Parts: sequence; C-alpha cells; structure tokens
Amino acid sequence: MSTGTDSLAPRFEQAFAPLVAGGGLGHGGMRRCRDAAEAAEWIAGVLRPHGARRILAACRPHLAPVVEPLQAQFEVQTVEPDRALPPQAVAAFDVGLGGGDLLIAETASILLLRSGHEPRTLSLLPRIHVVVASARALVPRLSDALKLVPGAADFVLVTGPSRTADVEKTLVVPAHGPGWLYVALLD
Amino acid sequence: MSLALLRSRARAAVLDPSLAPPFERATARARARRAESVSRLPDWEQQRHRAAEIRRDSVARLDELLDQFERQFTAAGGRVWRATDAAQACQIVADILRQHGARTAVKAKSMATEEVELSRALQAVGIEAIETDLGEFIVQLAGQRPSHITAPAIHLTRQQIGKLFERTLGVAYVEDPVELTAIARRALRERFLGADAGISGANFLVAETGQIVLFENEANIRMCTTLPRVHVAVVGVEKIIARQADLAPLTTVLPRSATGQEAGTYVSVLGGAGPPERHVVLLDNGRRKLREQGEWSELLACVRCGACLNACPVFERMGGHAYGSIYPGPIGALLAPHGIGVEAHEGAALPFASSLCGACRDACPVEIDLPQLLRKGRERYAHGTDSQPPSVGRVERAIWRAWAAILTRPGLYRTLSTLGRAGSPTRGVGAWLLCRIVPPAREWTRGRALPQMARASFHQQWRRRNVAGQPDAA
Repeated sequence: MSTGTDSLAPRFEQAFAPLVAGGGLGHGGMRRCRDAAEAAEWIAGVLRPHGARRILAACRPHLAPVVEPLQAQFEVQTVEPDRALPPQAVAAFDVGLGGGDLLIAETASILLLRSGHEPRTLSLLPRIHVVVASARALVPRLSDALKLVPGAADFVLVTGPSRTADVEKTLVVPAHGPGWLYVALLD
Repeated sequence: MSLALLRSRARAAVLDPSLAPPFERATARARARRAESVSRLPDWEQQRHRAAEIRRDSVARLDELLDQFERQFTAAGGRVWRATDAAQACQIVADILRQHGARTAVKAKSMATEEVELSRALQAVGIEAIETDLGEFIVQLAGQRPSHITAPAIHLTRQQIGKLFERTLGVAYVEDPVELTAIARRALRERFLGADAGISGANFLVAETGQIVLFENEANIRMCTTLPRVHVAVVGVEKIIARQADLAPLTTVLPRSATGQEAGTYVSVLGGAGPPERHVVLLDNGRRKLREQGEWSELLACVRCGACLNACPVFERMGGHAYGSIYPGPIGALLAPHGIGVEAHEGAALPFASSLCGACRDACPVEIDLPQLLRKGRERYAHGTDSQPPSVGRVERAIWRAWAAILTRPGLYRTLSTLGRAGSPTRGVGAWLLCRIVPPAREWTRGRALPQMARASFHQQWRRRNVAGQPDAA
C-alpha cells in the first residue's frame, strides 16, 4: 500500500498510546506480533484481567488462525456472513474481535469498510473492541486512505475508545461505545 | 431584540455568580486544548487555508452539488427531501417516522434539529425524541436549551448535574464525571436497543459519492445511525462538499478546532444503501437567501466547530443563553440577524455582543472574517443597510477630532497625560468614590474591575528602561 511501512508502525503506536492511557487497566493497548499465534496469546493475556468470557469474531480469513487458539479459553462465536445479528445479541458479548481495513499512522485511526463479514455493531456494542490488522494496511495520512477506499463504500473511522467531555470538559472513557480498544498488528 | 434588551440580558448574565465560573473554566480549558493540538501540526495554516477554500467553493456551487448529492444518494437506495423552512422540515421527519409506526426516536446531537425545534414538533404528534449525546441528554432532562454548539451543558456544574440525575432518573446523588457518564450510559443503552427510529444531523454531505459524514466521540451517533430500522438526517444545505478527498483537510481542522483532538473518535461515512432505511432532509431555512447577500455568504462556510465561541471574551463572560439564539457566540451573533437560529428581529442587535478583538477570526478553521462581519452587522442595525458608509453622531465626531488633535501633538499629549495621571481617580479613595457615585462609572464597574492608570507614562518607562538596560540608548 505504501512504502516505508517500517516507519509507519511506530508512528501509529506513538499516536495510539495517549488515546488509551489512563484508568486502572488503561483503556486498551497495542502489540506488534510476528504471527497469528503470538497475537492470540497477547489477546488472551489482555482479556483475562477484564473477566471477559464471550467473544464475537468477524468472519475474515486472516482472523481464523487468531480465533482458533482463543477457543480453548473463551466462548467464541464467529459471524455468519451476511446474516444479520440482532443488536441485543451483539450487546451480550464482552468482546468484539474484528479486522482493520486501513490503518492511518498519523492519527492512529482504524478504517472499517462496511462488510457482511463484520457487522458494524461488533465494534460498537461489546465493551471491548479488539482489532487484528496487517501491517500492510498502514498508510501515512487520511488523504492516503481515502485514495484507497472504493468509490461510494460506507466506512467508519475509529480513533481510540469512545469518550466524552460533556461534564465540565472533563475527559471520561467510555461514553456509549467500547471502553477498551486493543490492536494486534501482524507484521 | 433591541440593543437595550441585549444590554440588560448581558448584564444579568455577567452578574449571575453561578454562571461565570463554570463558563470561564470550561472555555479556558477548550482554548488550551485547541492551541496545543494546533501547535503540534506543522502545516496547520496550509490545512486551514485548504479547508477554507473547499468550503467557499462548495458554497459557490451549492445548487449543482446538492443535485449531484441527491442523484447519488437516491441511486444507492436512500431518499432526499428538501425543506424550505423549520415547519416543513419537522413535518417531513414526522411523516417518515409515522409511516414506520415509530413511537420513540433516539437522537444524535444536531444543531439543525435544534434550529427547527424538531423534538418539540415530534412530541406534539406523539413521538418521543430522546437526546443521546451526554450534554444534550443533560440539557433535555433539565428542560433547557443548549448553551454551546459543541458542549451543550457547559453552563452546568457537576453538582448541578448530580442533583438533576438524582431528581429525574431516581439514582443516588454522585458528582464524579465518570459515575455520571456511567449512569447516562446505562439509561440510554436500553433506549438505543429499543428505539424505532434514529435522528441525526451531519457534519458534511459528499456530492460526488452521495454520502453523509458524521463526527463524534461518544458512539451515540453510530448507535442512532446503525441500530434502528430507519435513520433520518436533517442537514443544512450549506454542509455540502464536492469530493470525498475534501474530507482529509476538513477532518484535520474540525476536531482540533472543536475539542483539541487530533481526530474525532468516530467518523461515520454513510451512503444511501441500508439497512437502516436512510433519509436526508436538506434544510434551507434562510440559507439560500443569505447566499445572495454578498460578503454575508461567507457565513455559510462555517463548520459549527464552536472555536469562535471558546475564543470570545464576551461569550466567556455572558454565557450562551443570553444570546437568545440557538447559535451563540460570534458566529451566532452573525447568523441571528439573518433569521438563522432565532427570529431575525430578535437577533438584530447581537453583532454588538462582541469586543471586536479578533480572537474569533484567528480561531476560525475556515478563515471567516468574523470581526469584519460583526462591524457590518452593527452598521446594518444602525442604518438598516450595510451598503452605507459608517457615520457617527456630532458628539462622537467631536470626541474623535479632539483625540486626533492630542495624539498628533506630542507636547500637548505629554502635558495632558501627566495632568491626567496626577488627577486620576483610578486608585484609592478617588476610585472608590468614582465607582459608587458617578453614575456611568458605577454602571460600568458592576461586573468589571476598574483598570488602573500606570504611575509612569509609556514614554517615561521607555526612557528609564533604555537608560538602565541599553548602553546605546540616547
């Protein structure tokens, strides 16, 4: 997608850190992983202190090897493509485990294209959102990402966990969406 | 609103001891955050200029771009409606919701829906509109209207919000913002999952791709636009932009100006294809008329970030409600005389709610020359037109002539300023008497501190400093 991927991952990490800082467990984290096995191990490790049990996983090919080892410790349900899940059902999961179609290094934003393989509620209703993405999805700025988004496709940009500052301009995480955002970056 | 009424409202707001401290704290915090995020961006000025160009170009091509948006959004399966005024916009939304048999609608924060008073109109036809942005939720529970474009509950303290939640939601009193937010999250989660319809505004409409663009932090907008079976966006016609690529500079300047964030937490870019069934109501409500009025059309470039509010010393002291318009601050004071945010006759005097210091112009992410327009707004109020050259009364003319005469004669200036300082009643007993007895001074110093005249003149201070510090001083 872009040259200089090596320098983009640290830039993404640098912009990501302040977004998830604070609180007892922090509000998320990021790890660069060599392979799916390492990602699965890291994800299991970060989810344990949350007491998370139920995971809803997107149906994306690169996720399968990450999801498989997690099944021993968690109750994992994988999305059936193009079959609508009622929001109440999605809200009952602790974790939404999904992909990231493009990663914007400058702002640590994750671009999620609309797809039947990952319902939009997966990154919205569970209290923890885990993203497993390839380092090849990194781009420097939003302008670079917009050049790669196909035509009139719907998408959402996610930059950190949900937040508000409506009470005396004091920052509070979470507001209505996930309170924790974890990113496993596969090199 | 006449100038006299504006003055009395401003005075009441300034003298209200419960209002000024929360406002001052919050706006100061907002200014500091904006300044910091802007300073971290090396090409801020270029990005800002690009954003300004994009917005001006969009306003110039308004009709063509709106038609293009409608074609694209409709082709994808959505529906576009056009509303000339507030009543029509409310009617359209009510009809769509009734067709879906909706009893409840979850609502995202939207200035356009505040402008047309949509919630009240829906209530009248038996549909409950639930505000879901935390600030708007608080303001709705309190039975008030927002006091700021991007921070609707900025006028309330945590204690006031704690008491409000205790009274209206039946929860125990807490005042920690984390706990208050958690209460709202729990209360609203059920409403999101059970709502029949979702209502929002939009930050931009992309003509090229037929997409609605929404910026937010809380995820309540994603809920409103994703969970219910029908979604209606009410959007001012000026929010149109030509291309998706234009989003890059706008996304760079908007969150930094609004909250000092590098990026908003969520940006949703949604086309006409559902689910949910999507509708866009394009709201005119005086905007096209404004576009035909020369320089005033510049106001349509506004992206409603609220940076000019946070920058404004008058807003900081007076608060949002005293403006009487749903759009407060410098931008609100300019939209009001054109009937946007309030009836035109009620907003006519609002351009006087400014010190013309220029802080709003420096903060504006799309380079609107707010002070210049505020000055024109005053002329319009005084003369009924802004094409006439400014004129002043006889007394004022005499004062300015005398002022000029003194300033152009150094000897006279020195003599008078020495005499003035010697007899100046700006400290001690003199000041005390002045502020309590002389009516104009008494009036002026209610809610203001009397500035003190320096003991030494600028000339004297300059001479002393140069003698002390600079060997080459004359």
